[in-house]
Amino acid sequence: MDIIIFSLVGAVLSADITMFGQFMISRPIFCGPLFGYILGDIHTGLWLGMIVEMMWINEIPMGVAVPLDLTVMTSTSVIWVCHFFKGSQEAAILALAVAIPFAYLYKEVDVAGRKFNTYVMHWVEAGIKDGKENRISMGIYAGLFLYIVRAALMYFVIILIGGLLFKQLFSYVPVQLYVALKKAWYYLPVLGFGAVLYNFRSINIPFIKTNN
Amino acid sequence: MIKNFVFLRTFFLQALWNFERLQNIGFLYILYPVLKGLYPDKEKRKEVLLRHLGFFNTNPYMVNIIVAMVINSETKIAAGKEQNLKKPDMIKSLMAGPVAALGDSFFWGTWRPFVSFIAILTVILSMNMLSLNYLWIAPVLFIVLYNIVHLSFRYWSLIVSFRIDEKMIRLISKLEIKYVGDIFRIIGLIVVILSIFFYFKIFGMVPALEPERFGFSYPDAVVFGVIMIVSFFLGRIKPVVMFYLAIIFSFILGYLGL
Repeated sequence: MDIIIFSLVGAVLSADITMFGQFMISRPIFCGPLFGYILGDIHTGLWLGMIVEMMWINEIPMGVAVPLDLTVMTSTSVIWVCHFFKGSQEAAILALAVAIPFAYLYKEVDVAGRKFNTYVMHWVEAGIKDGKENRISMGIYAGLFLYIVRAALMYFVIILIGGLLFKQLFSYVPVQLYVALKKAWYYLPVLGFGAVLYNFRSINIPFIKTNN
Repeated sequence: MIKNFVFLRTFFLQALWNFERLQNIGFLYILYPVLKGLYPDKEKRKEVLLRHLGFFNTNPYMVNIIVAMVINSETKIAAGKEQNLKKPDMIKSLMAGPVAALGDSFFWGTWRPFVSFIAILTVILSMNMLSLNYLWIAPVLFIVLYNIVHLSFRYWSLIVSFRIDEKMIRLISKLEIKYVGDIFRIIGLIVVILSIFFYFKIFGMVPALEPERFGFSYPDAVVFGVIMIVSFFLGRIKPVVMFYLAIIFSFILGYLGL
């Protein structure tokens, strides 16, 4: 039952990226701790959210570019680690490493969904020509509904299959990798700081000449 | 009343986002209640609705300016005060790009990262000074701060654009959004530097694991510094590559016992 609720919550959060609102509830710094809080480990959720937020700071929906879904990446990794190995820093980093390929898979499904929206758009257009103006609202609600259903199904599959994969993988982690994952817990935010600083390379600071 | 209704509808702009004409149906959905009132004749209204089905794309936070100007234009056309039927389309095509550039640069490129940095600093400070029980402050602060500016701007830009119409273009240019953005970027840089300082202080100033292997001990801050400098200079590399490289790097360090 929990997995269905998490899938629906995740789908609603992901819808915020482009489909509805853009209130930023989809950002890792918010959705990570949210799932962490629900599952009783806000610290891990916040830490993973902080890492993803900084490292993928430039991942935003602009023009026709479909961004990588950071929400699914953060949410599923937090759900897995809090469910199977609550409080384990090593498991948290491995969960994130496992969640990244799933985020790419999710992106492909999102692209397919947006291609399908073109058919809905033509359906709305045909309706207007036939005097069926209610298709404008129906098209919008259908677009949103289809997105939520699609996203919830994807979340369900990723949480379930990815979770099992993650659990199995973590049980086979060799000692050296275990130490590496522990170190990565502290190194990844630093990597994020570097990525963030890179964004400031062309900043205009008064009295200091910079390349712009 | 209708303005509030239009405002609520603007959140659905991208609900039927498609690769062919991007936000066209979303924009029409926002306008529809107004157009229905302006054109009671169904055949006449059909022509107007079809006019708005072309390609449209802008920043969702800035669309309210265009919405208000197009509604003003449609109101004039419906009242017979404006003869140029292409005016609403012209507003859409001429305004979409420039306002999107402003919105992308300020909201995506400056304000969101800035608020994220504030939240991240809060996370690190709460680990240093506050109790872990206060970790919830960071995400709440992020959402509240971000949306105070975001929602206020969206509502303000709609209402003012309705009132002053095309003069809004001049007003927006007078707002010096780029200048404001530069100020936030400088403050953001300070916040990031503070975050780095506290992060290094809390997690970096402890002896590395197994220091005896190399006969000396050093704070992890040295490794942190190296990672950060490398990350900065490899900034163009995709984050996903950087992520897995960091795991491999950690693995090598772990193997060497550093």
